[in-house]
Amino acid sequence: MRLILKEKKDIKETEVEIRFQEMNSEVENLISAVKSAHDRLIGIKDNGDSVPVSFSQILYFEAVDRYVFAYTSASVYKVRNTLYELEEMCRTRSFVRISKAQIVNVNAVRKISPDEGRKLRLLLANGETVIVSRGYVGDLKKTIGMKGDA
Amino acid sequence: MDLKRLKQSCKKAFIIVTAVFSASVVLLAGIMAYFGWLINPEIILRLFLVYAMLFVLTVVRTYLIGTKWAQNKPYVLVNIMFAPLYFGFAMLGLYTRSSFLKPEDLLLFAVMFVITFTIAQTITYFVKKARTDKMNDALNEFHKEHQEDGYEEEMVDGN
Repeated sequence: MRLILKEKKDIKETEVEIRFQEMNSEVENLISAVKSAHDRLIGIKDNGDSVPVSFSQILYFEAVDRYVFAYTSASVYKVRNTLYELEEMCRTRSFVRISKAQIVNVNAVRKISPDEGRKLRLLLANGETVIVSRGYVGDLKKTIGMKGDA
Repeated sequence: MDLKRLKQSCKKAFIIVTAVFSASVVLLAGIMAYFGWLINPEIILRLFLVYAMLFVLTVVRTYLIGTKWAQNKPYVLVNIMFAPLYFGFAMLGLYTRSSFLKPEDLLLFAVMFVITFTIAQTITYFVKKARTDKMNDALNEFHKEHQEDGYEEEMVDGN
């Protein structure tokens, strides 16, 4: 197998092209590795270590002060991306913005309950509760396939 | 006790109570001016004391709303628990000054208020719950359609 890397400044996002003679287990593993690399982002632990964190493990992102944190069931990681960038990255990944400071993984939501005013409460897989601000209820409804009127 | 959350509760309660206090003072001044009555300093002091007590009550309520216990209960439960207390504080101001309000009248008003408030909150809650039940059905369908992208619990090292 040859590894060819080409820098192209005119492309909008990183492209990976795999050329193969026939589909075999080596090619399948390669495809799987590329897919899972795309499904991760770099999180920084409390001790400063950078680790890859899979999007499927993230419960929600939260912006606090000038930082953005990714919450999983076991840890909290600081991420280098802004909430806006994460919102763009997560558009096709079942994440939805629920307030000015939070983006939640809809796959990690176990139950939706009413809250005061026109807000909603989301019970997450780890037992934690997050609040959907009334301005974002429509977005949540659209994401789960309901008509979006709040 | 979570001091950070207590500080946030104090901040939030201060904003709410200050706003309501300011509105009360403006309303009181307007009524007094309209009827040409003089404002007794004792009234302002009592108003201030009532709102100081309301501030403490609001801090407790705001703090309680953020606890895990309250998050796992219908939101109306905290409202129903605290409404009689708010009502009681509001009545304190009326009763001690008023010559035409008797204690049994106040008790009757309190009972009527608690019953009406509880019924209204319960009805509102169940109407909202009917909507969120539909959302939960849609959520379950969503999970079935996105099983492949489903949430994975993070394994802690060594487990």
